[in-house]
Amino acid sequence: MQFNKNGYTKTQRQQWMGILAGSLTKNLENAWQKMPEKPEYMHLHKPETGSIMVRGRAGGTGNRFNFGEVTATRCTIQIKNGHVGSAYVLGLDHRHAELAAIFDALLQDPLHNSEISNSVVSRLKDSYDRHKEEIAKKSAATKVDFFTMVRGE
Amino acid sequence: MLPSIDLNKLTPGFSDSVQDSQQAFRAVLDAMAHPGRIGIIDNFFLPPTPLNLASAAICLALLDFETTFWTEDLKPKTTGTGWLRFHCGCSVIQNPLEADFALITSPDIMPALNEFNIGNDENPEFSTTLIIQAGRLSSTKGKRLTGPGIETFSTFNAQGLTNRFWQDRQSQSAIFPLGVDIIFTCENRLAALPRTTKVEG
Repeated sequence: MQFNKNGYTKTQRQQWMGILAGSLTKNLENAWQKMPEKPEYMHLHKPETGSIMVRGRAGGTGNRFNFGEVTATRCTIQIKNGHVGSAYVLGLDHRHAELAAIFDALLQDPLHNSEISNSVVSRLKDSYDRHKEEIAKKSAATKVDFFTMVRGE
Repeated sequence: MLPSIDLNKLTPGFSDSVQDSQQAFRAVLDAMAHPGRIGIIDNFFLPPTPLNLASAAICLALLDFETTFWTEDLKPKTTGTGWLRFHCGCSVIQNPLEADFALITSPDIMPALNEFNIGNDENPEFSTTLIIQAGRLSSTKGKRLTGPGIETFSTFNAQGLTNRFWQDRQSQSAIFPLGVDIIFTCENRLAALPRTTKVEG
């Protein structure tokens, strides 16, 4: 991970937040249980579930349209040294949102960053990538190309 | 675009958001139903400066992403405003005329009541609800209140209010049913002065 003047670049935090949100709760829980010194934390927002409108663009370039609502759970926590972590995860799992927020806070802390990046995020990333690849393969098999046949005038 | 909220300075709000906001809502309801009666917000958390506990609890219970909020001396970046934006998701606006809720922390220099939204004839309920932080609330001496919710009369005063405020309030009776509703707060106490109440003295 690289530092910039303000801490971390936006994309780096986005990256690890994405991996944390996309990982399985049991994997996050394992990583948390394995931590030798667990930081104290408090909730700024307890985990709460709501829905988010997902929007899409036809073909990735068309006008934006409402695709549908997804259930999401969010959580914001603060660890003892002041760093604040947030998580928005799909689904109803409160523990998932909580753990993802804790790791987000730890990753923003230069003291813990490299340790958590190596021991937690890199491992989660492997299974996350495998999972994504699997989904991509499955959906690629169902891809349909639409085209219009021009009838002779 | 509003500046981003400084997350590191935030403190938690209600410990149990469902129960606590229902209790705060009940306290506001009781206060509005009995103008001038002093009620208590029975809750404990650390409100951000310059909010007192009652104002903070009322805001947590009543503000959300659909309400607009105005306040006189909190810049969008200060702790109090950031705290409200984080916990309630409300939009902080610059023009009191567009505010659903307004918080006044220095009643001696507050704008005139007609600078807030008084509602319109079709929708008088669109008016601004004012939350005014006072140095002290008194129900033993002060103005004489009569009207709906008061059996004979009740007495009420809040420290820090100017004569101009009471004159403004007096002239609002002419535009009824338009006008603003007011909640006074001090530490964990609150009292309400809805637009239906007549003020004398």
